[in-house]
Amino acid sequence: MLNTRREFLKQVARASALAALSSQMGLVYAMDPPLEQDGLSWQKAPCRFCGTGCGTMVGTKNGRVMAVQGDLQNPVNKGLLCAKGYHAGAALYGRDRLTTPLMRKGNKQVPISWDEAIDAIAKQIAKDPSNFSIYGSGQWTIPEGYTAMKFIKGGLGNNHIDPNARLCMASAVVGFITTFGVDEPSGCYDDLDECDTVITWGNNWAEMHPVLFSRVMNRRNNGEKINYIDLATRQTRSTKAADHYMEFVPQTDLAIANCICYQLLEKGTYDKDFVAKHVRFKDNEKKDLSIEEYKAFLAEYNIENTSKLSGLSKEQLKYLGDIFGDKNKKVLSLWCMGMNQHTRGTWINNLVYNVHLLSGKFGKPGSTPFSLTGQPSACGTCREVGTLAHALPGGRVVKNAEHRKQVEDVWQCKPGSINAKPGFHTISMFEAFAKGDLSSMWVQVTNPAQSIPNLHKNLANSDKRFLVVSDVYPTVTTRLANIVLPSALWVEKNGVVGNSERRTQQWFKMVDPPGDARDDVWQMLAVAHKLYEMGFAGMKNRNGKFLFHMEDENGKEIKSWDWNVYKTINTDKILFDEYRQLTLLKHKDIAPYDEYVKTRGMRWPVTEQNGRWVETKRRFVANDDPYVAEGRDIDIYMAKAGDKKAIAWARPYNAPPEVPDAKFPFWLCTGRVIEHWHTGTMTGRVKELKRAMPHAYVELHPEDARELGITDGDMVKIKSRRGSIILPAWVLGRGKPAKGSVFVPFFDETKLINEVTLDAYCPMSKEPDYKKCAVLVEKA
Amino acid sequence: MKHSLFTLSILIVLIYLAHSLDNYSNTQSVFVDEEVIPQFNPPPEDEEKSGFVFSGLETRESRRSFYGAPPVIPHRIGKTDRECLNCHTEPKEFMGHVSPPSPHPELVNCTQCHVRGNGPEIFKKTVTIKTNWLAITEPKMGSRNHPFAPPTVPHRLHMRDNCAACHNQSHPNTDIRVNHSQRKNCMQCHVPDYDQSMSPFSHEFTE
Repeated sequence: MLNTRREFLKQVARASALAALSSQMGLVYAMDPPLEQDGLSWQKAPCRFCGTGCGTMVGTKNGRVMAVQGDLQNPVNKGLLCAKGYHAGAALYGRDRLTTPLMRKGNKQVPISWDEAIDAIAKQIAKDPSNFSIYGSGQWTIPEGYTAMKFIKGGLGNNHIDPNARLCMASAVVGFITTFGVDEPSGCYDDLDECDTVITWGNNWAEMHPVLFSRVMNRRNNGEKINYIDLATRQTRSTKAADHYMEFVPQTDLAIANCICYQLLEKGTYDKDFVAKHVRFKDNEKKDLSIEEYKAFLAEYNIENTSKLSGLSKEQLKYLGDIFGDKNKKVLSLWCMGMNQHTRGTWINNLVYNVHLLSGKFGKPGSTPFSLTGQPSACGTCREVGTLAHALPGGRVVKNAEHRKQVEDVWQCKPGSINAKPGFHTISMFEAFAKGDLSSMWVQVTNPAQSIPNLHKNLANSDKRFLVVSDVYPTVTTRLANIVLPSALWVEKNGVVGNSERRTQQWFKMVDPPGDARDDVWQMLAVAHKLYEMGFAGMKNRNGKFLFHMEDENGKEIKSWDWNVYKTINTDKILFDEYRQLTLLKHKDIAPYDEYVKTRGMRWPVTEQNGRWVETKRRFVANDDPYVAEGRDIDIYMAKAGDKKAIAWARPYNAPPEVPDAKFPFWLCTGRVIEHWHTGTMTGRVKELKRAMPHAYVELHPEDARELGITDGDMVKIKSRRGSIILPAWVLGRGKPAKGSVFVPFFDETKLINEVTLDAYCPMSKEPDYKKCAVLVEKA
Repeated sequence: MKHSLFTLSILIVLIYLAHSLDNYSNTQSVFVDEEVIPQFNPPPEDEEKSGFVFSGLETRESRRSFYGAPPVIPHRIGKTDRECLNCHTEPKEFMGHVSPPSPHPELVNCTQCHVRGNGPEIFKKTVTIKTNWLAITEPKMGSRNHPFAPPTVPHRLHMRDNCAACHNQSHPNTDIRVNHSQRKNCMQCHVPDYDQSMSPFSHEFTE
């Protein structure tokens, strides 16, 4: 015990020495003393991979990560991780890490110095600043996204910035905004511990959010009764745990949700009190509807019609209606890409809210709709910081003059710096890049040459434009680049991210990046400062100083653009605390940086109450959310009309743009597998993960396979109107797609399924549909 | 005479133990640039010989990315995780192999953490991964306060607090078996030497 205390004091002393050292640099570097054990020092960091945001403890020694464990103190995962999380450390050490900047000269990419790279990028931007774009990521940390946003919207005065989260969460965002007036969920992971019924809407959470899945399944194993309904178009590992598997025709989720609402109104089982107090109805033209008019709209979605359209039996539809009509059931709806990557993604998000609003299953412990996020900071960075073509930090938009002014004031840029015209969203950005409307693009933390749909079309000519790619490994995208910048990864830098349940988590740098690899934030600061030196007006703030002017406590300027200075300071703290001022408008309040150092994250709104920073478990809910007005149980305080009511939208069924026909008779659905993260650039460097799932495959229904004469391991050609690939068949494998459909994962860079996919997108969210297009399947 | 013989034997035991303690000091293995497939003992799917196959610490280590990582699965798997526990609740013999029981059968989503050592059979070849990953190794044996003291538990107890699961006399890993597993109440004599008070793994989270 004494020993322990002495050890602890020693570490505190060391930490304060470090703090003293960094305060000489002008910054107090708050430090969680690393725990020492096994000769390793252990520090917290949220997992690098998905949107669950599990806490890990990272063990380092001699400047290297050597082990990763689940963090028992983190309430997200309570000590458990998944296969990817446990192996996150090994993802740093692939032999082919990028360690030096590269420039394309002729057909080769040759090493250059950082000075040359920064110089070339700055010159290119100065030449044509309004046609420069940034394509970022939901894996950007909050300070990274914030820097990119300020760089392009404040510095260059254009809005051509969009993240890969557009391909992932945009429909959820627009769904939230249209229904509740503000983005992000009311519920949280605690609801997983309290629900008695779970419905997943096209979601394979056993593989994609495994820690959340097992959180519920372990409850069942402990004797609790959990009814799990899997609404899907493909049998997956999740289906194996389901009490009810309901297989529907792709796109008819729209009709199924309406049919549940129809039954609630028809049978009178809807929550009359809740609806009267908290819900209003609108049609597609934004015209108000009475509940009778809404009921008339739903008449079309009676059980008979919906059963015919969706392929669900009448009994199944009735069962769903009864579950939501039962006042005593605590129903948790979960979804992710199945609903978001949808040409009517916004509508289906709205419709699932309708079901929960009508049944009053909203904001109650265990009984609420909950939108899962794909990426570790799609919420924190893309949605809260707002690194989207139309957005500004804290839920603001570029179109609003007042919003622009508020942001300009915090950024101290000259009035009028921010452009009022939204920039290109992802698909239009790549179309513009292909056409030449955009002259240059900087890609960070993502791999679009593998992940953008309809690659042939959307990546045409991209090797002819000026493309800068910051990444940690060579990817199909870096191969197209004029300049490749080697980046720091995960615990090689400081970071702050925000997960699905509004939890903001922070970590400190633990090891140095390899070779000459450097932080993404530094890369942008260096280019911005180069522009400033060149006399570029936008990079000067209203006081004539550098746009990213940072001062130490003595008022002395910090040369953040100088790597030798940058690596000794914590710019995350400065950027985060600056960004913080912008989070209050829509009650997305976050706490000061130092508060996150002490905790395993906090769920916003985080408010100061009696000198303590208090998080919010359930948003809009009395006694949890401090912004709920006195006397209200639920308060939709950001409702556009100011009436504190959520909107139930009358959204009709709408057929998908491409359906199987005689020439292309199969549905194609794409997705992920548990072993790999997105395009596999990191997990593909981990021996255990890569061996477990070395390549992509096509999954077929056994009857389809028999008809086509295909067995396990046969090479199969998948062809659409846009392209084709050949890959091995897996018939009785991990999943079983519905008859007449096939599934292909997208992690394999040698088998690019996105050459086949369709780039049609939801007209409201601009999110493309990776889950449905028509293909021909034949033995190769 | 009797007395000196006894002293001598004590001395011999002491010297032997001191020597073995040296061997038990933690070392680090370097997993660099692995060559193709099975790092571990050939899994059942690749092997058609009879007779029991036992393994030791080396095999144990080869199935983990680092000490503390979930081991990979060295054989084909069924479609549901429920099937895993058909064999992994107590040691069972199957085609010459003995299944190690899970120390945490209460966690039912096995494939969340445990992935196949080799990928699905549809892929004819396995892949080579070039990595500079360095791993910490499994701890060998716990320390003893004095030669006759029971050794301490040299590993974390999180998800591994069911001693019998791995240290039972019938466990296929011969290196970690104990010779008195019938005594059951392990923690009566063996205490963790892992500094639990400093360990991030030692205490349950309470809200």
